[in-house]
Amino acid sequence: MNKECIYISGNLSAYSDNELPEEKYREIKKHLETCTECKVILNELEKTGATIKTAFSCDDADIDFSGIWEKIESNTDFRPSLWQRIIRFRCKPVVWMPAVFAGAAACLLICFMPNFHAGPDSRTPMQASRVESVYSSTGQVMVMQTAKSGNPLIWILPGADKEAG
Amino acid sequence: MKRAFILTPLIILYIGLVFIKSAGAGQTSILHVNIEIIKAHRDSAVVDPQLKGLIKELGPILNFSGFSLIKKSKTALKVNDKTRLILSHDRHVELKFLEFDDYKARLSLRILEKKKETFKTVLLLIDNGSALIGGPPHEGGTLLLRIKAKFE
Repeated sequence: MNKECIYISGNLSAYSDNELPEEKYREIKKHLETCTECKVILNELEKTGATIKTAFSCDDADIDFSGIWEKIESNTDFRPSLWQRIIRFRCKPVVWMPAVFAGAAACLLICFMPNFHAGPDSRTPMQASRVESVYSSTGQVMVMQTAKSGNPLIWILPGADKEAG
Repeated sequence: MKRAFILTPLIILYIGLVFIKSAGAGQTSILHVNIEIIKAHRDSAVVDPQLKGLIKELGPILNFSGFSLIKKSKTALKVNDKTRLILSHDRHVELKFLEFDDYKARLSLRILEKKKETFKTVLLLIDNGSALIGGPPHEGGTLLLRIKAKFE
């Protein structure tokens, strides 16, 4: 098939339907007299056209097109399936960014949540034990803190020279 | 809308964890108390191996050089439970676990001499915390009482 045949074959359908200008029509007709390949293509086109015409040769007035689209819509579910929706959801990176940030924020909150990963000793707001109240019959008591750990130290000063025990 | 869909379960999870933790915090009901009766002195450098830490704690303040353990007692107390420990023939210590609140145990300590109260204090003890009470002279030294608390 040469270049002319390619050009002619592209216009054969219009030639068959008499839709070409006269000059072009004559040019193709002249080509078809000598080219068997293009003639075969033309014959095929004409056969196909005839088949379609036969198929639609019924009376148009017998067909009721009213409400046909509504019927199609009611019988067809155009919504994407669950699987398609999952795939679409997964393929959208913009959805995952807030999820990643939210997850990271939640992890940070959980990790730095007061007293999350430690025992009850570290949960206390008080860092050391304290003395709430103290009374001594001698009337002389000192409340101090130990040097290293800062634990309370209550020192009873004896009122009289009296030995304990 | 999608953000809310993702964030809502995470927020619920966080709130749930906070509630679980705060609920767990109030579960301490038993207080283990370790009481040590110690004699501190300045004329000797002998330190009981169990009391080595006391040199650093009390040395700089009270200039003690030796510590010996006279008596040691362990007890487990529930709220409002009392326990007694004899210090000498006419003197004893009475401990009462008053309450547990805000991660600290409130412990009442009384020293009774011939059934008469001579000393009383209320201690707020943290978990693994301790307090020292001392001062009365005893056999050429000074009597010390160390109270250690552990929560369960």
